[in-house]
Amino acid sequence: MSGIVIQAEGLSKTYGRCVAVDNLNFTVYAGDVYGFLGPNGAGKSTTIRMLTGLIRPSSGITRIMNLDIKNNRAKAMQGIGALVETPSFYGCLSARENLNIFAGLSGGCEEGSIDRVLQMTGLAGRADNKVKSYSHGMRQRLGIAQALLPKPHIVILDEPTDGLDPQGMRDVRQMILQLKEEGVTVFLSSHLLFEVEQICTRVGIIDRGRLVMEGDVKSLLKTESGPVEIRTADRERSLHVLSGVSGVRVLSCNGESLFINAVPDAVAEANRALAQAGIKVYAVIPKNASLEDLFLQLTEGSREK
Amino acid sequence: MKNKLYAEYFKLLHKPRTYIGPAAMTLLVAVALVALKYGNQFRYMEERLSQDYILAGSFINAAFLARFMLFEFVVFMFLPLFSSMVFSDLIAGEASDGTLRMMLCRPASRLGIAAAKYAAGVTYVLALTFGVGVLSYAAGWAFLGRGSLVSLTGGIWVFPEGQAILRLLLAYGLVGLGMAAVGSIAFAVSAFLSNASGAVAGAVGLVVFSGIIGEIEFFAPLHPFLLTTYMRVGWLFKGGIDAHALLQSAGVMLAYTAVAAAIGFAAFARRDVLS
Repeated sequence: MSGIVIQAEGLSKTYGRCVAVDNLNFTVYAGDVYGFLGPNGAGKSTTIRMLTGLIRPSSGITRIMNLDIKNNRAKAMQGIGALVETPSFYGCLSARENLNIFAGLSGGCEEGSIDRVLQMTGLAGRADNKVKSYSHGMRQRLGIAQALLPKPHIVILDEPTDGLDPQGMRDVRQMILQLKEEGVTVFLSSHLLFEVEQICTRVGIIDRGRLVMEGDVKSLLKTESGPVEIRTADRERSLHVLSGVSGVRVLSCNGESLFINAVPDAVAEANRALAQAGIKVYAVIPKNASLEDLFLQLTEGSREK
Repeated sequence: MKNKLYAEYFKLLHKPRTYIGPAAMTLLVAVALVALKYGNQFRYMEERLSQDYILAGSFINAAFLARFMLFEFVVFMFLPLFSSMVFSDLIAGEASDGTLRMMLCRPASRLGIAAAKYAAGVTYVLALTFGVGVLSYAAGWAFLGRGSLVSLTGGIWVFPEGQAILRLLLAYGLVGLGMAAVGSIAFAVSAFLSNASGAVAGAVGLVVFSGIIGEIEFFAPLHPFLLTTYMRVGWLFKGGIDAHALLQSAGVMLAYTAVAAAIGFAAFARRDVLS
């Protein structure tokens, strides 16, 4: 595993009695596309604000490139592009002028950088128009452009596809994949689980300010219980038999197929029970659990507590 | 720091709000010019001075208009309003627009950003204040002519043109310092808020409140500590120039400025950006 580039240790933020983030720990490695997931109000944006130094943690530490954000924010943010929540710009200035201002705050940028990011985000044709004439989607693209301006080695994106049309969303996904190929580490917060599943290598799931799961996307989806398709000769009797097997939940039926949710041991037990009942089992096919299944399972579980 | 300063001046020059103050003050100078040239307010006074052989001809000229523009409504209301509007916009305005969040995600120190903003604000209020002086003198010269300054503050005082210009420079300088102090108060208040109008109300309210207290004899022990006590510049247009009073006025206003700016910087460095 490559070196750690972003790290949160015991990170907490409270507003009066309200605990927005509670003892959060996560690690992002160089080259990761890290999906940061959570339902509304889970504390994602608060975490990202602490990560970028916009707000101060009540306790705990955030480090970027091993530099404590609290004490070395300006140095830690060198070479980092960030888009935190809805992007805001100076409406009376053009996109180019806005980018010029933000480039100045990053200590300047290479010649041609502004044109490069405008091209990447499809705004080159409107670069000299005032931002107040931009649509929400165009502002979102401009937000991504300013994040990519300093040729970053880490990009922090908070809901980058928010407000974009399907084409724009696909463009952003491809842009992130392109960044990944270039070795850029991406920290991505998104509601769109399908999107995260497609492009992220690792995920952290946060709920009620706490991290409820973190890990490699592929192994998370493999190791957790997921849907299994069972093809049998007698669907009705199979349903009856499976209802008596502990750890098995029938999700749906389709023709000769039954879809169950069970951990691997329970699947074996279901197969044995069907065979003992004299029902022919033609196939047991594990289906990959989706990130959405995992997300709902984890966050709903947390709500029940 | 150069980049930050450039960014702040560039934004300041491109925001429509920046031009509200100069536009209003230009209008006010024009109104005063018309009133002085065609009105009768000072005509009687001119005739009396002429009859008593104190002065021949009209004393309504460039210096008189420039002095006239320092009346209390301008110094205690108009200039503080426009100064605090711009200073408040620097932090609270950008916080409510969300652009402060965008700025503070960049690898620039908060104190550096605050210093650039503050420098832009101070430049603006000084330019606005001296702009009123220069504009009123130039417009007066063009339409009323130039010459000695006749001051009607606590008697009748006649200052030769050179003396008049010196006194006007000192007076506008003190008012400029006063506006820097008022702007700094707005800056400090805005560092705690995400709403520019709240900071404007706070700073202008303080000036008005202080001005009222300064008029009430009961509060006389407090008068030496009020900012508005030192923003009154009428005393510069009678008798000799009291160097001690001049230094005291400048010192108090600089102290107000320094304390308010320090509070603003400290609050800005620590504030949570939630908007």
